[in-house]
Amino acid sequence: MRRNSKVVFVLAALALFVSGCVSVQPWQLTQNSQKWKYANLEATIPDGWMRMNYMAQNMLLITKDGESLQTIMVFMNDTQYKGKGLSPEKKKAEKDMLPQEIADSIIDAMSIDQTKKNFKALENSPAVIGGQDGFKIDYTYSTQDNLKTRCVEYGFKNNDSLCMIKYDAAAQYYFDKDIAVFEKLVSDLKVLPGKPKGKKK
Amino acid sequence: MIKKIPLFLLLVIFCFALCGCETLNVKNMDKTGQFQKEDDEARLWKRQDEFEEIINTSGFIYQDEQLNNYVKGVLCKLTGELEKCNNVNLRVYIIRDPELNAFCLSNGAIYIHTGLLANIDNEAQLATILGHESAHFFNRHELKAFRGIKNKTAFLSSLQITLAGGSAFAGSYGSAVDLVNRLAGYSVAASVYGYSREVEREADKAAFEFMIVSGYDPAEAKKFFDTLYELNKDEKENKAPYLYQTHPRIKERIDNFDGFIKKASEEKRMPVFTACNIKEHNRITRQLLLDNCELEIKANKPKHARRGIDKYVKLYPDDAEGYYLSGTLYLAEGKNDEAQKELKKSIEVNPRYPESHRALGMMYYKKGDKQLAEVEFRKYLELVPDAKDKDYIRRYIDEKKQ
Repeated sequence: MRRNSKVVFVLAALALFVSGCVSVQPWQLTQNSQKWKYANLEATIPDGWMRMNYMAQNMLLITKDGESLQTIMVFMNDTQYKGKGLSPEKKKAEKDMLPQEIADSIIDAMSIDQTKKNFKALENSPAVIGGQDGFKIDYTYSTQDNLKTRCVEYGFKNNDSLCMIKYDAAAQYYFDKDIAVFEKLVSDLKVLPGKPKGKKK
Repeated sequence: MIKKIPLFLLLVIFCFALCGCETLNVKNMDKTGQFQKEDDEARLWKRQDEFEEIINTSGFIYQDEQLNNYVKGVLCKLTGELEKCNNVNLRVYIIRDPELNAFCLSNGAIYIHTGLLANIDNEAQLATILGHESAHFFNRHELKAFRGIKNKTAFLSSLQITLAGGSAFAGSYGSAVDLVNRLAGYSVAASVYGYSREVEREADKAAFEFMIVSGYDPAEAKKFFDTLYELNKDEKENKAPYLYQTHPRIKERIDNFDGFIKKASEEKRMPVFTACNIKEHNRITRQLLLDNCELEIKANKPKHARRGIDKYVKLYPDDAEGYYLSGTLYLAEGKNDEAQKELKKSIEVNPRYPESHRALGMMYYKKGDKQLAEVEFRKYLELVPDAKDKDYIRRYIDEKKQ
């Protein structure tokens, strides 16, 4: 009996130990047109891309060849777009900012960001995303490691929140390779009717 | 036995420390021209050459040939002779950044941020900064800081090795490693953020002497630091603790120059004919002043931007751009009535200045006054048919029709 209880104890300890070892991989391969849903947003994730598991609920991050080569990010900024200023921009953002003003403030912030060398805005134009009026900005910069990067961002106001869909890729080869996948994700993005759930006002 | 261990340890530490020590007796460059680069100094310069290359290719160098030549000219007046004697070459670059900073690398590259340059009112004040920064080079301050730290590091390393031998000292060993790691790169940081009080005083003194010899009025140095002192009373707008935007350190500059002026007056060494060249200075720095105000608005430094705009409007009351920037700043602060007044003033001064029509149009549009907005938008597109944001503007106009 005493021996049995020892065995049970050891087995129980082992079970607990093994259960602690089960880990979630940081990146997960996506397939079967997986959906990402948050509040009233719905995006279709392209197949064969890797999705980052450790992200906040309001954020989707995917890559095909590795984070430093290309990423697509979709996020809804619940808290920062309520008169507190658009992060990372230091500029005071008002609730009634027009999409053009938001785009301008993003470009302004990046033009003085010393981590983005040789920043150049290529385009800043109006755009419609999921039926909502917004903006599209296209720019290039070099990283601290001198990797020339090109980025396209779409953004729109979703009631009091700001939604951004961003494609960031190495300018050489990778940008052109996956820009069509990104544009498809943007054109398929759904903004469902109804107020997005956000934090309490 | 117990007494012997600490004595033995002390001796070993002392020996290690001595081995690692390099002389701190570094001679300043002077008119005897006996300057010779030492081995560790050559390595330091090489590292700074790489740093210089990184900064200069970052896209943050302010491009204005006339302004650059002017700044280089003032530097040459101050230090040209000393450079020649020692066969060295000082360079000066302007960084597009609204912070109040200037620094000199050990290899002779001087950097002035547009934020600091825009607050300089005349050539004598510019000479103050250039004199101070070049003194760091001629007095080889970075090498001294580097060696000082190296010696401390060597001492701490010897301490680590010695202490690692005894498990009883394990705790101390850990913290010593941490300290050494923290000290790495200190000398480079010192050149950018400022040196010790004594070293900065030495640089002030050298700047003062450069100014006197070159015929600049040292009283302007004091005036300039007084301006910075006022500007930095509210330090909320400053991102980094640079020498020229930290309140107590500016006070030190003021006190130093006060003392030097007093002493030189007593010794009757103050220059009789002094140069400030305000007119030429204002002409050359005009565009910089505007560009820096824009940077300050972008960087959310409203107080600094307001000072720059007021200075610009006072100097150039007939230029629409000053009033436009003033209006833009009011808009960013949410003061719409003041913004409207300034934008209208800008149009009054120059009805063909497009940006004010655009800004006014946006303001009316957001207020819901779409008829007035359309008038301004149409004027804007008439003046700049290929405006970068023409698609946005056309949308606003078309929206009204619908």
